[in-house]
Amino acid sequence: MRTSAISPRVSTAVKPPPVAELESVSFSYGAEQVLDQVSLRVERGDFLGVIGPNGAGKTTLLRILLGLLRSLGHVRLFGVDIVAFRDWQRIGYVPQKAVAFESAFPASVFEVVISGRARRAGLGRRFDTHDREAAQRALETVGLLPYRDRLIGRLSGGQQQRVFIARALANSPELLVLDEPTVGVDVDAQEQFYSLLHRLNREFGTTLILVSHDIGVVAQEVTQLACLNRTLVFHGSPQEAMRSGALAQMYRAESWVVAHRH
Amino acid sequence: MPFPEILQYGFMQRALLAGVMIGTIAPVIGIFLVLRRLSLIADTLAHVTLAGVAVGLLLGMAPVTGALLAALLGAIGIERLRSSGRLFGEAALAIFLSGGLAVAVVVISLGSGFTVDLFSYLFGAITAVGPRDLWLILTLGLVVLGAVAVLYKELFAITFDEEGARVQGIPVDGLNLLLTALVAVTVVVAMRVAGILLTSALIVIPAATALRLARSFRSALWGAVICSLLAVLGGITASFYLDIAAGGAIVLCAILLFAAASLLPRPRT
Repeated sequence: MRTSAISPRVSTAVKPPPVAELESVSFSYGAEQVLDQVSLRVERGDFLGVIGPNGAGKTTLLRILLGLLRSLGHVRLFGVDIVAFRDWQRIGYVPQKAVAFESAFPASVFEVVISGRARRAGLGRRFDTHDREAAQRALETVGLLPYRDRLIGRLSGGQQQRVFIARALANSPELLVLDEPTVGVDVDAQEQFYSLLHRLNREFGTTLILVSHDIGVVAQEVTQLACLNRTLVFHGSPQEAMRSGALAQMYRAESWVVAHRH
Repeated sequence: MPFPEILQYGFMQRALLAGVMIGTIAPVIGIFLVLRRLSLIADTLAHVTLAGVAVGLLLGMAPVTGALLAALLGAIGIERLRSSGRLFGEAALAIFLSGGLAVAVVVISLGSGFTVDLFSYLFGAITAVGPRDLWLILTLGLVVLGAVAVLYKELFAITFDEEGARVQGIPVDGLNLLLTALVAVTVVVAMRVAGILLTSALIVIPAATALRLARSFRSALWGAVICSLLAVLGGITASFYLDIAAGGAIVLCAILLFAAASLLPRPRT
């Protein structure tokens, strides 16, 4: 048994293990290697932006981290090897809005948000007052309480994105993972969205991992930056990324992909 | 006050009771299938069930036993083939659908003399529901309703966002298999009333009607059940007084309700 399996919430004297830890992670789809020997640590309270051009392996990395794909190398969540990890309610996941659901799906905002607690409430149990209060609080945090009985399909893209955050928050996760969260969201809503993330990070101490191809915006918002292009090109603060030229390199890679496509 | 004529006969009482149970479970399962774009699964399992009925009749066992076995085996097979990812979902269904029909046709050609019996399973024979059939329908129906009631929030989660549910740690694969098995049981239960060929209609159409009008998932479920019960009771009543086939009358009622709902404006909130 790993010593790090002890819950950090119980033992405060020992330095808690990193929230997420990748060690020499490699992944291939058939012959095509998507990730090559990526090692990365995410510490408690980090706001990590994972950036890189299209096809850099960002989404693959995220899927590995969420246990949706098995990779070579080691992945540990809260100090526990991912193969043995069962505490999934400590992790919140905000999917790409566009792929997450059908706009005609008949679900109210509240139904979507409380579904985030399905696992925590337990198999075969009904949601209780506690679950409903948690969903209510999550909606309040993202500022959508007045919309609780609306059909989710009737909300704007930015509001829908906040509903998905509320669904993740309903579980009070320690780690929030967001996949390209601002795709299809207008600029005003994006600003509101990032200020919400800052609040979660600073006030609630939530660790954030945000995957995006929007290099410029993300570099401004996060405290840690991971530049990915099959290998981990850079990992550090955005300021260092700027100085070391890693950011410029990412931009070039991105513009190369764009130029190549047109 | 005297009973209306339709309630004076034991066979009509059983028909109505069986109809109400089927009219309740079919649309509940239907909501999940339609939203997951798996409507074809109901039709597929209905055809696999037909093979089971034919084999059952050939071997001289109760057709329901054959149907239930075939439907459950079909459900497991479809789910295996689908989740292996080697085939697109629809292709796996098409193989089972035509395969079921093929087995049924071959078995029918092997045996002789049960063509008439089989006909009643194809198009439904609700007035032929005996007391034992009724008990089976009610029991299996309660199993389906109980499973959905107990796993409601998990089924919602995998229907709304399967990947999100998986990340939460919900046993998605197991629930998918269970849902397919529930479809199988529903098809078997519904085949006596609507007939195998019309069973998928009862599963899909009321659900599609309710989805147009719903303001929440819960209201979609209740709406589908109401639409379906209206169709079942309307169809059975029409079949009694007009002397027309009950299965067809039920499905036509369901389609009429769907058409009427299409004329209403969609909810705005």
